[in-house]
Amino acid sequence: MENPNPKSLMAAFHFQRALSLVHRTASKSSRAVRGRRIQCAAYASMAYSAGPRRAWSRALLRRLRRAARRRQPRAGWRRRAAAGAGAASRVATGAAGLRRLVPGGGGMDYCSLLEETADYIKCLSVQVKLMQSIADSASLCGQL
Amino acid sequence: MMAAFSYDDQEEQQPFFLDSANCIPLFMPQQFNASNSSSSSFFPYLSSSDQASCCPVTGVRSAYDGGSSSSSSAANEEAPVKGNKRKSRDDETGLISTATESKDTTGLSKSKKQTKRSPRGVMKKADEKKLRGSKASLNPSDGYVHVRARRGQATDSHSLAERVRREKISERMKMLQGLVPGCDKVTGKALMLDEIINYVQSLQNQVEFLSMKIASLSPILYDFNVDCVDCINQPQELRSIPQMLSSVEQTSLLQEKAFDNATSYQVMDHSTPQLMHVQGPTFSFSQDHGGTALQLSAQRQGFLDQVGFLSMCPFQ
Repeated sequence: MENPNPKSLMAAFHFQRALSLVHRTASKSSRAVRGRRIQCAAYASMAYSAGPRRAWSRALLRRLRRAARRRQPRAGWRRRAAAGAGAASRVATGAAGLRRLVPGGGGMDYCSLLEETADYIKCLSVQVKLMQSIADSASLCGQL
Repeated sequence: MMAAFSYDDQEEQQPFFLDSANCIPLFMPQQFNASNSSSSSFFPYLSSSDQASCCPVTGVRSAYDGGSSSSSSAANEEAPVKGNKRKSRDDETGLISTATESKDTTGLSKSKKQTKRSPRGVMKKADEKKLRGSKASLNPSDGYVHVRARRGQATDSHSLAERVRREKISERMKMLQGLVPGCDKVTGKALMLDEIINYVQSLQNQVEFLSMKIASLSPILYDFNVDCVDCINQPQELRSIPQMLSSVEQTSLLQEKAFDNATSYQVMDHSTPQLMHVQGPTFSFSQDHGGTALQLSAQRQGFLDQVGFLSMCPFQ
């Protein structure tokens, strides 16, 4: 089988490994905690596979590491994400809203913000497809 | 009175671009005398340097008055040079027709002269720098020269850079339009940005939702991963277990899929050696021809994982 896009393959690999890690460390915890950890794992694997050249991946990893160092990673991540989304939908439209949504977009000029947004959208849609396929296969195998 | 006349005379002669070297020594002694006799409000610096000799005064005057007289002569000298530069640049690009070129050069030289006369000589260097900067920004990318020459006016580096930036932004907007579904239907930048924001938000929400879904669905998946990690620690035990509950078609299917997986992993094997760590038991499955004894659940999990990876493959 050919390997047309190694980047998304790397994303799949990172994400699978992160999933196994999540299970090993948090198999006994509740479903919500596991879901948040999986979300963190999804973002981290996405940022890792995007590489350090992109500003958004660097900012995302920095944020995740800071959250992990604070010992309240999941709650902080979730709260901030929810607050940011709510504020963006309420107040900021246009470039300001985009800055709030794209990680690391606060200190960019408009031109590079658009570029990073394009790359971020690409990676995010790949990640969503990957997670969708994993969820589909899991539900398929649950029926076996 | 004589000095006033001479000064007016000089002012009149300036538009004709008389040579300042001829002009100033001609009128200087008279002005000097006039400032000796009466306090001239025109030239306070002359009264301050009253007791000095004539030669330094002329020097000071020619240096100070360069804004009015010598700068105009400098503009007179430099205008053809600039025209040549511009013409040569246009010849390099070869994009502009001669009519627009001639109009452009005349308008530009006129505007340059105006800007040169007003800021009094000090701005000459800045103007040169500006010209050089615009030329430097023009040289690497010839595509922008066409746009700049078509509109006659904005040729300074700021508006050039602004135009380059605007073009870049519109290009990226087009790229985003291709990425975001439903974005090509809306018109206007603000609506497009709103559409993009909505799309990014929906993607992020989808990630959150899917992670919750995986967390709710995934004990089987996780069990398999843990089994992998556990099994790889004791591979001999795994192989020594006799075959128990595997039907023939299940094993054949398993083997075939595992072979597919193996080929696909060998492609990326050099970059990701850790994958073998996770997927090792699948290999042992295929090598032992299903001879490994596993519980039915474990086998199902192996099948699950293969299905997961195969279904991931199409979008890769």
